Amino acid sequence: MIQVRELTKVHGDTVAVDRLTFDVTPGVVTGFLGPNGSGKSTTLRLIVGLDRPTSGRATIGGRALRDLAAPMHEVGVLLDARAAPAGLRARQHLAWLARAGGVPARRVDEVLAEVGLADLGRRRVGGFSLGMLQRLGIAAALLGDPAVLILDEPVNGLDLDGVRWVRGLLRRCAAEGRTVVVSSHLLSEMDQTADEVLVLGRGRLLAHGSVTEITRAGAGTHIRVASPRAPELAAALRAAGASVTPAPDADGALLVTGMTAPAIGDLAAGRGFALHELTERRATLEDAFIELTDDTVEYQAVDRRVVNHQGTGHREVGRRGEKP
Amino acid sequence: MSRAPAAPPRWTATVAGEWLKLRAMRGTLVIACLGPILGTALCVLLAVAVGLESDGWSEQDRAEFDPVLFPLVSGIVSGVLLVVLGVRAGACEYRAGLVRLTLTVTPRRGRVLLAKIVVIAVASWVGFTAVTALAALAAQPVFHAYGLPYVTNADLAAGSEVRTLAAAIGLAPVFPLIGLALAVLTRSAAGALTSVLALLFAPAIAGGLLPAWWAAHVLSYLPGPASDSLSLTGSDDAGFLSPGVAVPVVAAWLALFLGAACRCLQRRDA
Repeated sequence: MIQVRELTKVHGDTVAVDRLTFDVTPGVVTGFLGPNGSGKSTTLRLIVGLDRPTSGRATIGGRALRDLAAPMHEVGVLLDARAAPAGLRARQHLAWLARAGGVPARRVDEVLAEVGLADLGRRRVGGFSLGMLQRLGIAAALLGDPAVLILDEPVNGLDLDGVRWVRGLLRRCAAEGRTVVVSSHLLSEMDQTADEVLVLGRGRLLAHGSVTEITRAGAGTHIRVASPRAPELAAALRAAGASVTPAPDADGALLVTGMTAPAIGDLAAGRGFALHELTERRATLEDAFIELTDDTVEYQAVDRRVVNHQGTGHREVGRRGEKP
Repeated sequence: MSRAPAAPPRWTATVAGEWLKLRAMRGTLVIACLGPILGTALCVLLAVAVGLESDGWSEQDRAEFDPVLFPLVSGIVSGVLLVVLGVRAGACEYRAGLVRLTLTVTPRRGRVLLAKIVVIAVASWVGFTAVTALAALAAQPVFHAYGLPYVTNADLAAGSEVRTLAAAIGLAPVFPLIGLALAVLTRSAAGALTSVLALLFAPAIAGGLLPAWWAAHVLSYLPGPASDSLSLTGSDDAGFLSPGVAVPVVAAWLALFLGAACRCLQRRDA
């Protein structure tokens, strides 16, 4: 159980984390979502006691990480897979961690096998691909068989096989009753992996709930209807109070909101309209996320036309200025 | 999920972990190989140079030649390499963010620094002693060939040589530990190495340029000259401190650097 209360971190003028309050419960996979610079990693660093909060507090099992007697048994952390020293062999890296954390040395081989690096224990970390580094980092987090697992972007650099493996691992850890926190900017991944989602934007908590709750709340859930008598159907649906727009792919289909699929089907049957398609399109987590974080995105690409136009303008001003 | 509560790791586990980490680094192996080879080579070359010159020595010169302390010249090499080791023990944490892993495994930051201090101090004592002993063994046949006295027939009972030798070995960790502290403070190997080597060699250079008063009253209190006062013979000369002053001065410098590093490590966001 992770408890975060009014957690705030200010770097100079920037509020990196702004009065966050939430609980992370055991037994489910909790996803941390947010655009770049939204405070995901800072929050995770605050939770594991690496950064000192400006105000507020974060506790794991009721205590700050610094006060835990055997932190490796209680919290397994992967913050940056690239932190492993390049000159060390994989086994040596896990061996010093195990020794310092008071974990029996046999765990080293166990976790190496668990993450699929059993044959690479003698290879130097410097020669590892990002995917292999992620597996090594996850191995390090699992060393102490911890009750809480905190993984920052664990699927970055993993191939499809690796992604599926991480997904299975997280689900299994949650099923064993552990608290599992995983951050990612890969929404489709979170959609499939996380049960609970925390959405951050500019350091603030924008949404917290189950994936279904968040996607249901998001706009973009609609019903797609195709009928040979589309114009008449559209008029009938509007008369019944639904809002109807033509589908963007211009094949004559309609997108309907404000009415359920069975109601549309019944209405069409009542009027004798044939239906060729009636599909509910639930908003994806991505749609919900874009809607939630739209005005909090830190680094937004600017429309190129605007930039070019402004650039030209500046040059003209400059030229005019040079000439007396 | 119910699990038996695990016993918290003791501070010795942190020391063992830091030792395993430092030992596994490739640079440590290079230092462990280079130290004895270069230290011994330097000592033997200087022994040959001394031997060639000894033809023109008077009886008094011959009597004053000290084969016991001569191998300490190897300390120039082993000393610098141990400083590099100390700097690496601190800087390795900051190159790729290893410190974040280290501090989540051992959240008590003072304990992490203490473990590094123990590892570097022991490595310095062992390394310095081993290189000096190897250099002594290698230099003896050279002295013998030139008809100079050598350890087996020199008088060890006199005491002053043994005291100086013990002081030199005892002080071996001072600059490696200052290097460790500076690496933690600056989070950079290059910055720390430059500062500690400047601290080590600048007083000797500045001493020649500044008035004698400065050398006696200011430079002699810097960590280099203060530890030299204990580990070099002829320390009655101007610019050296008496042991009663030098020991607290060296201890104060170590406490200042390591204390600053500890405070910085505890307060800084990792």
